[in-house]
Amino acid sequence: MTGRIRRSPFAERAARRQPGQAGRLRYVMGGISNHVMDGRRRDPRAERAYHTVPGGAGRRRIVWGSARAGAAVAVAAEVAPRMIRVENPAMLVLAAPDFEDMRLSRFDRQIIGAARLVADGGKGAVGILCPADLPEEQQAALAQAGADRLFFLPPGQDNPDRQARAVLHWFQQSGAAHILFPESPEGADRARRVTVAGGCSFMGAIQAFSLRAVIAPCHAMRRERVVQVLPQVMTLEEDRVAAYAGLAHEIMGMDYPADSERKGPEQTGRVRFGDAVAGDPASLPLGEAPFVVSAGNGVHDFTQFAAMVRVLGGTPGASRVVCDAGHMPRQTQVGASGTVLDAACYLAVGISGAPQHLQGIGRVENIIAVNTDLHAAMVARASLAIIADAQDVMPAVLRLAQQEGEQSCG
Amino acid sequence: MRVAVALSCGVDALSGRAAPVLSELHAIGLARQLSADLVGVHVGAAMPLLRDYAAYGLNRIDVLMDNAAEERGAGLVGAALAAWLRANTDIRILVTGHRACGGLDSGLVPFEVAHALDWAVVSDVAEVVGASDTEEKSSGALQVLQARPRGVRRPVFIEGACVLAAHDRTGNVPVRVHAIGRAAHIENVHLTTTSDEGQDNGVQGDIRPWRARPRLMSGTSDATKGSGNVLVAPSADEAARAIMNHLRQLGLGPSGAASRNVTQ
Ligand SMILES: Cc1cc2nc3c(=O)[nH]c(=O)nc-3n(C[C@H](O)[C@H](O)[C@H](O)COP(=O)(O)OP(=O)(O)OC[C@H]3O[C@@H](n4cnc5c(N)ncnc54)[C@H](O)[C@@H]3O)c2cc1C
Repeated sequence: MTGRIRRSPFAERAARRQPGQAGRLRYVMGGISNHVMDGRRRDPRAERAYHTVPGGAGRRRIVWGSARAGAAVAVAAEVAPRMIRVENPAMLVLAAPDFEDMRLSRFDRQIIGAARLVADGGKGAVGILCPADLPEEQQAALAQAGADRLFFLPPGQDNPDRQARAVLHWFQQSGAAHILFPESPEGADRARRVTVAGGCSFMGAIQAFSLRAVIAPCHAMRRERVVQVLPQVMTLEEDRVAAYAGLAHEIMGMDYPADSERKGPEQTGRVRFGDAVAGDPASLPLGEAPFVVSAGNGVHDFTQFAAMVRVLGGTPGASRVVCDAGHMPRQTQVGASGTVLDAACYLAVGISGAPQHLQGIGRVENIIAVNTDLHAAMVARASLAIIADAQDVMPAVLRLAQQEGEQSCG
Repeated sequence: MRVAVALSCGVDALSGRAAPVLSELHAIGLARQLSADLVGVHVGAAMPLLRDYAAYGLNRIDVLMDNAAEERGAGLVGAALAAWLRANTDIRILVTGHRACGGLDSGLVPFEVAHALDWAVVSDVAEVVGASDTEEKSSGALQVLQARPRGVRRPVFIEGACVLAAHDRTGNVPVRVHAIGRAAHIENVHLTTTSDEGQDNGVQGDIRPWRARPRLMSGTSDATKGSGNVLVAPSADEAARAIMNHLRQLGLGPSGAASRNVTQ
């Protein structure tokens, strides 16, 4: 038997028969019942459209069958939950984001995305290890990022061994299958401490992540290692896995550390972190500097430029033309044959933005350009562009910055 | 005080030939800040490359010929180093590179050694600030600076014996003196590690040539277009104010957070 609907000409004819005037029979050949085999030809598109009803999660749904359940289903879709609940997970995957400045960064979201990937593959849940004093709105952000459970770590950020012990404690206690860390300075350190303390299987700096295999470079990035069975502890490089973008998950459980741990006797505090200190911008290596002020061929007065850099608290940089001319030392050259920056902000004074120069600032998010040429490539790349003569702007900035500096000191 | 430096004998990433690993040179630099009495240690076969390392200031290098380690690969390097350190009780500090460059390159070795010996471990060390006590026996506290991104340095206080892992990019490379390398004393040491010592971190997997893996588009790519706030021919003061406001939004500038705790 095929599932095809067969036409029954007699029945169709009978359905179309209507009592006409003066006792005659009449056949109405137009459609009585919509889309049920009326015309000679089927119109598959119209049939499909007719049977399509809005389903849950904003997706369309097609309901085949004689009666169109449209209205009822549509109502059901309205009340369908807008959050995903994972109530009885078959497994658990932990993620330990950095929470730098108590915020969930882009990298952190990617780590949770990777954990989500593994958990969804095994009908599991994602647990997040987070600091106890995480603000409320960040917990909402975690739900959006795909978290199902939260595990709070005891305070004590200044003792890495204790942190690692707490992470390992949750990892073992929760019976999670895997734990994922970012391969950031903090995450890499923590992951390795957890690995050796727990005797876990480990793979670091993963560049390709999927459920079938994880791949990380080895032999000085000349070879790569492909592992089919996911190790227990993994660290991922940035921008290798997409962050979770689906419906928010509902956080179904929060686990707090036991009181004994929370107060925590200061066991073996052999390593203690002090307060981080920002480097002196004037002497920082260019590749590490957070804020670089750079001079190009449009700058004529380099004494004034140096004064402005100092007052703004930036690290001096330069284009190649300026270095070639000997106005600035070679170490300050930004670009393909100079230094590639990791700065948060770049102030380019009189720089045209040649491709070789732009290569050096590919990762910089905020660029301010001062240039006389409205059509310079640097102006197109900038988030704030000032079309003016650098020789006029620099003294004005210097004056204003000095005023502000005095105000904030006094 | 005697300080040991772990040498991995890596390969150059471009040519694939044996070459010193940059972060291990940084490690020698760190060790020289700590003490003048240095000893290098390498697990595996003796190689001519060790003289290259020695030229940066090591008078002696111990080569640990551990058959077990060679057979079963990485994971046991840490155990071999730990066994050697147990045998040399006068050494209380081991300095290593960031990660090997030519092996599994997992970066686990310093942590394994520290775990096996129950020592402290600090990664990404950029600089030694001070060893308050040269006689080390009486729990001398050590202060080092840990490199964090964007030029931030974090002081770390360490008590007792420790493993320090150098940072891979920041650090100082000591002067290379060829004659020191020639004169260095390279000695084979046979160790007997019990075969169950040292955890093998399990995953082996297939090794194949490296291939560039795609990255997601990074967030900066939408900044590439520029959000297009263009001021055409403003007065100088207007321009300056616009720049300062922009910087303030980013937490930079003369009153910004980044420059606040900087000692000028
Ligand atoms: C193989 C190779 C490698 C290179 N590597 C690098 C590298 O690493 N780094 C690098 O920087 N370059 C590099 N270059 C050079 C690069 O191609 C450009 O020549 C260089 O970047 C241009 O520097 P500039 O923008 O300062 O000068 P110019 O191109 O001369 O631009 C000057 C800009 O200043 C503006 N201007 C002029 N007067 C004023 C004023 N009074 N006020 C304000 N603005 C003004 C102009 O409108 C112009 O946009 C490389 C080139 C090659 C071939």
